[in-house]
Amino acid sequence: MIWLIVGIATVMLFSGFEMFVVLGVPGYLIKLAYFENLPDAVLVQKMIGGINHDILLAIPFFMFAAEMMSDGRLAGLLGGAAQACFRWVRGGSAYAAIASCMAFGAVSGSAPAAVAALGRIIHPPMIKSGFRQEFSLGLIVSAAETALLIPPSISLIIFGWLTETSISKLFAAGLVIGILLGLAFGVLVWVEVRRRGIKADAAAAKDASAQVLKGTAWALGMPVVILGGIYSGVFTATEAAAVSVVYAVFVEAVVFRTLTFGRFIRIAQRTAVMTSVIFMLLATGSIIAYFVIIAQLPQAVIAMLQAMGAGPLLFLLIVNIVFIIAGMFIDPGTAQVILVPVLFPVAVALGIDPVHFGLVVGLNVCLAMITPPFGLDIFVAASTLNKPVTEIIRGVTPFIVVNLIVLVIITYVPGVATFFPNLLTGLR
Amino acid sequence: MDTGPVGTTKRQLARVADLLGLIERYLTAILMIVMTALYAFNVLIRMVLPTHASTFAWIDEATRYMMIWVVFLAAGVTLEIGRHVSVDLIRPFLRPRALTVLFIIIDIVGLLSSLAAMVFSFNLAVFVANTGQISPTLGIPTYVLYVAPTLGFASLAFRFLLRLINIRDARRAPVAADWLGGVSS
Repeated sequence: MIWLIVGIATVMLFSGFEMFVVLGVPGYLIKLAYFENLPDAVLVQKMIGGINHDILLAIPFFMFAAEMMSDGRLAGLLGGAAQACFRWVRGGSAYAAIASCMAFGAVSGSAPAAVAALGRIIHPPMIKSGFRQEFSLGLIVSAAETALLIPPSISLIIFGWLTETSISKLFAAGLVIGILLGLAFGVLVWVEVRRRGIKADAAAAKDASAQVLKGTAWALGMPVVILGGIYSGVFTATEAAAVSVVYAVFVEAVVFRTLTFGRFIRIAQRTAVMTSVIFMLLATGSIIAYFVIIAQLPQAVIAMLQAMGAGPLLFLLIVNIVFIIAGMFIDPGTAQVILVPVLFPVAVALGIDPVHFGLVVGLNVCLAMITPPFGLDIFVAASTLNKPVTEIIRGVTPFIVVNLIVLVIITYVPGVATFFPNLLTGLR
Repeated sequence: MDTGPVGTTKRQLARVADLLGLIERYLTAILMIVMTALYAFNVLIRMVLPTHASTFAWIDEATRYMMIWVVFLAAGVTLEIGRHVSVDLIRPFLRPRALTVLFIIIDIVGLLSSLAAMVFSFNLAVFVANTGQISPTLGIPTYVLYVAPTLGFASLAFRFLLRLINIRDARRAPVAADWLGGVSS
């Protein structure tokens, strides 16, 4: 019976049903088949109970702040400032592209938003300084991933909520690994610059005007407020998120004077839509998570691994393979909601650090954004830059390889993920 | 363009959707803003006047209630503009006729499951209302929490119905949403 339900869910998934229906209908079928005495209302109770958490408020707050900042002049300022900083370096426009994506990530937690906002600003200078079209597209699509790791990170908040892992520790680890990923992409740029003999183009970006730098400084005040607040122990992650909205309103309305009332309402409406998208997944996913727990599915997986004699190393390899395959086809949020409740208890039972496991999952979520055939970033880049998907996929391939190397390092050297969060906790 | 009585009914339904969408959008926007302002205010109080923090303990609960209302009030309009997550793996390989059949199945399943979820939510709301349960710090009846999914799934059912009869089908043609703008994903 259970395989029939899983079969129905899989068919629904791939035929393009809305994901909350894909999660909700099988949830109801499981109830009908196995828990006849359970009242239907319990499903609604699980859905609401699943999202009725203080931690989750951080998601709409961070998205609200990010929408406000990225809807205005932020992308242009960050792009201009980064290009000015790197203009003396050979191939500086490409390093600037990575740097501006990382800076954008410190304000926003969405990779597709980074591609959409920055793509048109960082692509033309790279072409002008002699990078191949393919390389430039691949770099933009991949560098945007760092936005998913560098706090505030929506996917790490979701992981924290699913597993009750400390958000501030996850953020600290995400910061380290986001920077590591940015540096790894930088190495690829360095190789490309030498292979193609790309020169520095000091004349290209002279936009280091006082105004640009001042604007950038205001934008980068946001991560200072968020991270400084969280790590000094003044704010919880959710409080920092709410304060970041106030900061964004202040910068946009008082400093830049670009926030009209109409724009404010539109941004709020847009944030509501984005909140609904994520939370309908989380709510219906809670039904599935509930059945996963009462069916003792994690225990079954643990027993199976023990029978195979598999330790943490093999388990993490399996986790990576499962996430990579899932990420190629389904959206990473859904992959997390379905897979983490099953896999996390297994990871804990095998003695894997929750923060380490969170970052393995986090990096897989990143990878899912750029792996064909259905990497969301690829499609966002195709539509905002008006380039063929096939060309972007060719360009992104070397970056996927680099990404996999970083994933292997994170997976098998837990210290990379856990060092910094442990240091911060040790200091306090 | 459709003409005759069917066309008129469709136009009227589209107008109802417009009005409903407008109400939902503005309500969710106001909730978003108030929810954020309240939470930030609470942080401020805790930092500046920690002795008064307990006076505002209700804010914690209020903001979570508002978030849940935002989620469900925005769900219908989100479906209308085609923003809910879905995987379009087989869509490109289908012939137009097969695609039409698939869309009809998706919409019927969506409509029926939304109606079922609406009924479950309504029953739960009534059940909780009868217990007379009051939220601990906010002091309002707890059933308010379950009215949100009742209305949300009703709105979703209405949007699935519209799609089923070929009104506002974002899968076939983008639904005009100028208010959305921006670079959000």
